[in-house]
Amino acid sequence: MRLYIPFLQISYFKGAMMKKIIMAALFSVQSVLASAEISVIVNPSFSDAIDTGYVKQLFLGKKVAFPSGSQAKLVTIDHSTDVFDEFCFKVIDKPPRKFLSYWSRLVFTGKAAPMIEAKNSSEVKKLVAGNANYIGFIPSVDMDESVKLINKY
Amino acid sequence: MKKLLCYSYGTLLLCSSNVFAIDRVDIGGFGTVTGASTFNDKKPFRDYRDDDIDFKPESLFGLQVRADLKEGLSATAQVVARGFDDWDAEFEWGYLTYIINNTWTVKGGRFRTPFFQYSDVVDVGYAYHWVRPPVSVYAPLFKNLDGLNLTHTSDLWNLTSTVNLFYGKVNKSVSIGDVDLSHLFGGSWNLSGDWFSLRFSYFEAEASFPFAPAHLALLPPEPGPPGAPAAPAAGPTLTTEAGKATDINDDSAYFASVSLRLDYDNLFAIAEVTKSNVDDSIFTNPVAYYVSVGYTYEDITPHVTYERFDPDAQYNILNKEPAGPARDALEGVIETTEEDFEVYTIGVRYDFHRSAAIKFDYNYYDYKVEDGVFRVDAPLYSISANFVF
Repeated sequence: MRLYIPFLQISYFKGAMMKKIIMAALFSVQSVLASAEISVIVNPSFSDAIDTGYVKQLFLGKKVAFPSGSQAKLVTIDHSTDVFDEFCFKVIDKPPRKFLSYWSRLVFTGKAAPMIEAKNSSEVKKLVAGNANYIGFIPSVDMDESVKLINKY
Repeated sequence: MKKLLCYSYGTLLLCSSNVFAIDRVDIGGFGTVTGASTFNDKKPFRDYRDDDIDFKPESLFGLQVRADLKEGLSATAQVVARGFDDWDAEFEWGYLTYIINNTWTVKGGRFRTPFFQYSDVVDVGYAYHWVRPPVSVYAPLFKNLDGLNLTHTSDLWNLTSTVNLFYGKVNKSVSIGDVDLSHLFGGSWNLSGDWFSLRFSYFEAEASFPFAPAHLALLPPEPGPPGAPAAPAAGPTLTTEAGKATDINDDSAYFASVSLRLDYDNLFAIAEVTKSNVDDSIFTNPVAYYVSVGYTYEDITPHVTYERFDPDAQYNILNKEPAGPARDALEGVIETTEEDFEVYTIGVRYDFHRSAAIKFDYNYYDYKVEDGVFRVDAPLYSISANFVF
């Protein structure tokens, strides 16, 4: 099998080694093109049980509180970032502009509280770590122990 | 919305004081600049005239302040300045919201009368695709209600069910009189899934509002002080019985609607049917409905809409008035209420920015019966820019 990846010269390798190299090459290409994995996070003291469906309902304003009854406060990252776009497609399943238009309706008719806007991942983590009922999202790579993971997308 | 985190504004008295226990204050706003014209001498509907592009009638700016007082309580106020009000900023809404738990929420104060699907969001152009929501349904007569709202959300067969109950009153002064809906009671039920949303609503009230100046002139004059004769009328007037049968004064009214919205990939469709009814009056109890279909391709959303306004002129009232000049005048007024029309719209929305959109709509108003004065078949060209922050 000949594969024309210039710096690897795969045609000279055989068997298991070849497979490993091909996979490595494919993965490295994929990670450049691939979208960042998103982690939905909450405060470490959070003890409610919520699934992916519940998270989507919270961010669609269909639910305004956690199962325990306390008001959920949503944190979002800056609307102009790629992370925000990822979140819209992966967690909400709506294009970003449709989501913003939908959310503006909720805010200006009093059906939902405006989302708290953070500039970047560390600000999201700081807000979520510092407040009991905050729920937000960050790229999975930025995950650390200051916050608790709910789900990965 | 822009945020004002209390802990970073230590000098703000309200936030740092424990007495008020404000968690955060959010300020946001929305605005619409709309211009429209028919580009000729015909007058299609409402105020749009000839060659000028008029920007005042529909432009507005709104500001919303929301204070998050802990434990599920929040206070919201909205101030709106409208072009046709000469930009007089008015406190339109002010209410407290309390989230009881993840099923029940209660709201009290003044907020938008939510009769139909888009009733509560008419002012936020950014939230919908047309330049203006279908005029056959969304006439700005009953704008705000003072009262209570109870919301119940639950999951029903994998769908989200939201029930809203309202009780209150509507009271507003307009140029030709007072608009009053008292003992307003009703609600809406919304059932939504991933690709559809169904809504039913029904409201009842005792209504009092002026329907047409020409009609008001025919009403018998109010009785004068005891012992003194009544003030003389300017022209022919109706008998008391006919007067009561025509005017809208504490008459039972109801407003009902069903709407369905479908979202499939980039395609969407909305249909709504509404019925407004006022007993014992000259009100035409119209059925108004529309269907709108659109497609979103990247940042552009073209759409087409068909609307129909189907009133029922109350000629039976003529039976209550004996023959004479008053009856003829009444017949004339009832004829003017035959406002049966259809509107065909084609338009496009362009989201050129994350928080702003520009829209262009072309409407064609088609009256069933033209009168050459107000009811004239005519096109309307509108352009609108909306933003939110």
